[in-house]
Amino acid sequence: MSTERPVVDFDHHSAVFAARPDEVFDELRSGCPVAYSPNYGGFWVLTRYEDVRAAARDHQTYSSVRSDQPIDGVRYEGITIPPVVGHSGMAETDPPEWNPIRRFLTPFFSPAAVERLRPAQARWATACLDQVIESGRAELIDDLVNAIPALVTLDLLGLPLDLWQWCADVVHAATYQPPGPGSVQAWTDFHDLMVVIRQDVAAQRDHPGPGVVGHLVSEEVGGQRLTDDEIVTVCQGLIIGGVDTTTSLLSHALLHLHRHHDDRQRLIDDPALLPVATEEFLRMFTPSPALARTVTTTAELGDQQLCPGDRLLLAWAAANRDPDEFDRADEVVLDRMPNRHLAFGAGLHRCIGSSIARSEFATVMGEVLRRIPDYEIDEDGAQPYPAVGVINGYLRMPARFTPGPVESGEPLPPARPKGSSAVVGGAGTAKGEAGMAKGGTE
Amino acid sequence: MRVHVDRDVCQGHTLCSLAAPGLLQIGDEDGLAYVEDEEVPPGMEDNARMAARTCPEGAISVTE
Repeated sequence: MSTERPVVDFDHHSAVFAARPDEVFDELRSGCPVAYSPNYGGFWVLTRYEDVRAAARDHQTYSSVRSDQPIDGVRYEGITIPPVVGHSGMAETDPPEWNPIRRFLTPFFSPAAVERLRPAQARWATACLDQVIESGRAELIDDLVNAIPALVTLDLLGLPLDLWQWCADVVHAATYQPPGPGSVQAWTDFHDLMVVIRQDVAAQRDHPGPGVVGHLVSEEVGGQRLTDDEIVTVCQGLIIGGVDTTTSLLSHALLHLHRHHDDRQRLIDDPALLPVATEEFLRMFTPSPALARTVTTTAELGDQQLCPGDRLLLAWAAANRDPDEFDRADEVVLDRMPNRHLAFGAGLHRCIGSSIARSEFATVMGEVLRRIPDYEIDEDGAQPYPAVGVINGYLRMPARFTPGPVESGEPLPPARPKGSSAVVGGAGTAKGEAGMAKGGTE
Repeated sequence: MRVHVDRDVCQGHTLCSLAAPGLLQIGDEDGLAYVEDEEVPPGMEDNARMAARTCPEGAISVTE
């Protein structure tokens, strides 16, 4: 076993990393697969498929817990490095506390539940394209891929749908800013949104809606009722997980199909290929490049010794391009099989919303390939995120296509301006809006 | 050939159902994989092997 830590100057939030994330991961994996970075107080970074997979599946050694107080002398800082402002809920909890909430939430994310969300999702995708299709131009991020995940997430939670734009904007801004003043402002905006959501949670105590929140206010979780604050924390975790992630996957896939007309034509000719191809896009364009754990006990990885309290970054995106696991690892192979990618993680913290993500992806991509199959992206105008440590996505992606006809003419749900009625209005207003919004989607 | 899903290990990746459609199914309510009959129908042997290979959790085993 090595006694010296192999130190690398790795920072997943840096501009250097954002400029060439895949190459940086390739260099680490081939040169130093269990490396130690001194940044953010020090952490290990894992880039080999088998190491990442093994650590993700061993929650007893590699904990997701976030706790304000040290436990047995170990500080637990959750699943991001550095920790973001605010607790991510279930994702930063381990068994036994994790079990009741995961058991409670699982049915809302099941294949059957996702099927029930599909009609509204399809209508919104049609509405998004209706807004731009006659002009022959679109800003794919703002006009198309940002809206659907936010709308579907709010619909699932049973929160006012008119928060969708606000929700999409603040999560988007919070994910692409590196740690610093911009990020602090973005998270402050995010918490303003949570204040509004808290009002709706309180309102649903009297009139529970049909979504996750309505069930959380009226049922017990593991033998007790959650407080409003605890329910807001659940919402917060699900919004962070649900909103910018699928957006990122769609943007990368749209760019790939712009650059590779042969792949685009294959998907147009054979729509049945889309589910398998979606897994390949997830592998190649992993939206969340890495998440963290805390080491609970002395452990060995590679030839390194890890100590209790050590922080560990599991680089899903690096694992997903490991040539020891995947042939032609740096190529998109639409019908790749087997493809045991880790884009949704692995083990018991595996993404609870993966069926929804796949459904959103299929709906939006299907709509694009059907209605604007000749779209071309202006690559000079395409702007990747300045920091990709949280989500690897795009800010802008202008596109042109042959204009087509409006299909439904039904508008998207109205969007409440960001920052409005954060304090005024109160529970009554929030409740009324929630009722209206839900009425519109049933 | 027989195929078995360890539902305590399955985390609902659903990749197996893409490898062996109809054989490996996904529970509507729990999102976990299952098989109605562990006996693999003739002609589905390669699909069953692929389902086992594509599971990130190692939850699927095949006995020849």
